[in-house]
Amino acid sequence: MENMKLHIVTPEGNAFSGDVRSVIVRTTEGDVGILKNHTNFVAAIAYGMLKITDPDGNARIAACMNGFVSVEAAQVRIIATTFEFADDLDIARATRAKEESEARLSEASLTDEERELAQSRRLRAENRIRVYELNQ
Amino acid sequence: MAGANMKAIKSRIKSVESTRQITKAMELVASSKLRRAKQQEEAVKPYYSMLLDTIRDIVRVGCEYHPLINAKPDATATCYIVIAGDRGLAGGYNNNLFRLVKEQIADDDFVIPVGKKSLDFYSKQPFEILSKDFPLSADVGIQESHEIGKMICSAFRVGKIGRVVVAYTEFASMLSQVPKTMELLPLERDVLRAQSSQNESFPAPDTEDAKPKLLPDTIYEPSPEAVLESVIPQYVSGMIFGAVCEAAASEFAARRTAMNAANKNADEMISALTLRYNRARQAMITQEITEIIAGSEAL
Repeated sequence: MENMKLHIVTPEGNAFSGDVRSVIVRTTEGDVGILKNHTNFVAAIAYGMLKITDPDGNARIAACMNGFVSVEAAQVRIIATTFEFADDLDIARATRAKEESEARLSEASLTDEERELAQSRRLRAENRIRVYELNQ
Repeated sequence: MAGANMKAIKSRIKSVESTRQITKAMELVASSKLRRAKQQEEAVKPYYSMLLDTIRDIVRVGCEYHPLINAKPDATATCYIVIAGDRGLAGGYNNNLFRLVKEQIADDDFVIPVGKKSLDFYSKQPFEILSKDFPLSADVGIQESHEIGKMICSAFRVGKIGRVVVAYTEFASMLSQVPKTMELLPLERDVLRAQSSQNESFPAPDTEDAKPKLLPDTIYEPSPEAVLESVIPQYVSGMIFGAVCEAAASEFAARRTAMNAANKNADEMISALTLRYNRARQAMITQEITEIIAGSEAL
């Protein structure tokens, strides 16, 4: 199988850059697998998992949130707000964030904005936990 | 007479020395903060350039009808996001930026000040302030940038503003920081092209390329509108975050330069005052000797 170039960037810097065999990314519409010579493609990423298969056939998974994926001229670019490989995930922090955001959501006196913030925090935490568990 | 003069000079020297200690300390603090800010700015750069590059490709492909790409025709007001520092003593860092904005801003425009100096300045100005939630530019991270982004996108959508401009200070080099404005919305083609030509890593497409290139084979999932709907707000907040990072690096560099100059001035003053002090001391000794000799001759 042939390799292609993949770049993943976040505001914290380059998260990944190099050759891969395939990428599976969860867009807002569902999982999309990308191989070499994929047609030009753009989709948004909400909360999801990302799976990279490197040229040796090893797979790595990561939590990847809020961003988009674009394929153009045989280059895959993923721009995300957060991207963490499952090995780097801080499970204790994610569990704590999930509990805290759930406690916050059960409060009655939340404004819409606060509710939205807490909800997205919970979604992020749940996504991290899911990815972490899949990696075990 | 000479003794009183000497005392005055001595206390001057002391006061200049203690000021010099402060400016020296501030210079050191600014240098170390600059290093950190520069690192962050460099980390965010690939994100920023790739965002710009990708959005240019996406928009070039078509979809001119998205509400965030074209302004409503009756929306004339501009919103300026002015990113300045939290503290003074950074040379002309804050004032140069305000001066640049002043040249462009109209009376009915809106402002979102970021940073304490910016908030202080625009609170005294006639422009309407959209949000006072960002009093400290050091606290503005990606989350806050998203908030700003969300706010301006919704104001743009309802036609309250027709243009969004970010004013920040570009980090040209360690010694030179240039205040700059950058158009964020509407995302029209020529705007995107003008921006990318300033960005060295992504050279402007040549004239042939610059024409709307329709790539019918690009798949937007689920639809171009939906993709742009989520991508453009991210682009906006990403650009704001990039500008905040660059402005922070510029602020520390400006402060370092200003404090360096203050140190040099203090050194110059100290050496001039020391010379005066020594002259006064010598004059006093000479005078004393003259008096003693004159006295002994009189005997």
